[in-house]
Amino acid sequence: MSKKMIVLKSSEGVSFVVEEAVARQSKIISFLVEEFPDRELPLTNMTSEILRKTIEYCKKHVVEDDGGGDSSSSSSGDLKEWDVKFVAEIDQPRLMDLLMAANYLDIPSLLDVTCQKVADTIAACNDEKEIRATFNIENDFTEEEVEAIRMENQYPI
Amino acid sequence: MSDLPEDLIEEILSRVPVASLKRLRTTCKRWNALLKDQGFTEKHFRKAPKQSQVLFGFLGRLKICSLSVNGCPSIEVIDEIRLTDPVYIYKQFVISEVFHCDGLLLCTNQKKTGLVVCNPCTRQSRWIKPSNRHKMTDTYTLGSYQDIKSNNISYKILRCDIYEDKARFEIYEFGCNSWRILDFTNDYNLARYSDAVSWRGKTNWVSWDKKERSMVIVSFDYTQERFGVSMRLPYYRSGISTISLSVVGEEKLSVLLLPSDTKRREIWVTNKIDEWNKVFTKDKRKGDWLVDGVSFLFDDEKKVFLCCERLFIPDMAGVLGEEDEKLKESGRVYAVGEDKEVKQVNGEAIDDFYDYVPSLVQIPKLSQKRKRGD
Repeated sequence: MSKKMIVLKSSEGVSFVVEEAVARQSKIISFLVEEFPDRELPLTNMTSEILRKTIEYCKKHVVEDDGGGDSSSSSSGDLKEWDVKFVAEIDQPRLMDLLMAANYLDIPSLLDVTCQKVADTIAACNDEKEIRATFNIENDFTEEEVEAIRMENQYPI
Repeated sequence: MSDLPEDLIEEILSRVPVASLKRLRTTCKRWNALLKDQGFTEKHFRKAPKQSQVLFGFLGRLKICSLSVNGCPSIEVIDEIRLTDPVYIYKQFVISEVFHCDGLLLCTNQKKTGLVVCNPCTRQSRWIKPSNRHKMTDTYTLGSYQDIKSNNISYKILRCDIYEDKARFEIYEFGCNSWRILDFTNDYNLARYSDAVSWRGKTNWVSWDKKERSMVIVSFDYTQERFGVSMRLPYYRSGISTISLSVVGEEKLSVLLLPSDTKRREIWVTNKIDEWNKVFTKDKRKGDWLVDGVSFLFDDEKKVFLCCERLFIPDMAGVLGEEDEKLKESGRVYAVGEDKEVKQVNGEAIDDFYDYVPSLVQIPKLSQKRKRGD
């Protein structure tokens, strides 16, 4: 039996032909495929680069149902290791784009690994200045407000 | 990051371990507000990686420490819990007993006239008026239950008044700020053999089961408000002189057994009911470092066993809160690694310690309806 393919189109208009089982890890695509079969799906807010990365993740995580019962292509330990490597290779701005793509397409496991990676990066920062610089966050506090919060953090309770 | 929607910021920050969260408050106003939101703190409790710290007690002082066991074991103080006495506001509240559950600390003084729940991470605290029937011998424990109406996790305090074979119990509810007597007879002798530990929301004791004529682990369920045998010990025979309980990383329950006949101490660990694994044994030697009623921790991952001499001071009330150089000498902590070598841990003097997982869990508030009626 040949596998059913679907077409996903990035914001630049580039088409990606993907196995339906791979794409269906996105709950949104899964819904759209049922509503609009045999149509290519335009993903206008995703660049080709991010879409390619998302598909790469989904291909690795697809669960093959052919042999009766669920059998993932890799063991869960290997998959975890692969996930860590996968997010480690992506730079900060692209990681945020991928995180938003996982949210938009509703792929819970990809959202989990990207969020955890960002959380780990935050935890590794030495102070709030480094966090702001890394994530391009504007400091909207006055000196007095920062001091007030620092005081709250002191004992006695 | 500033343009991320609120729910994604929540998803990310709920995965940052508690120890790194303090500096997030001063990053920006939006994050500061989020860290105080109850919905967020509950999410954080479920999702964030659990990082164990050690809570050390010594003569009325409580310190949160990190423990390093690589090479020469050592203790580093991260924070000291200082509570201002609500009655004598110029005085520090001297903590005599502490119980912890989900990152919340329940502290009492020696006379049991003061009772406070606090969260060292959020600096939140709530003083609780002890029951009118309070006694010096009372023990207090804290546990969680799922509120049926709101579906949220909430907490209750259990007061145990144990005198010889008789025991009476009271429950404190945070929502209505009142104590209520529990009306049942209890078949177990609690608090006589070991300290209570919190595991999966319930409070656990080693206790004597009168019917079975055996030592068992008894737990109190805060939903049903009932005691029950939760588990058997790995084995029991007469001649086991000491049994202590400990929890590591909120995941695993461990028990220390000192069978006096075999001159050996054993540690068993479980993360499932009635599935014990023996993880550690150590032969007892003459003039040994281990005494009865010992505080211990066993780190299953690092395979390190940590225990301390419990101080015996005849007039405890006189020295609580005092710094005494001689006393510091006696509260020693020992670590035993896989090589079975006993090493003294450098650092603080201690007479009690617990594995403690910090959290952002909020102390339950007075319910709104009650507030207006008060």
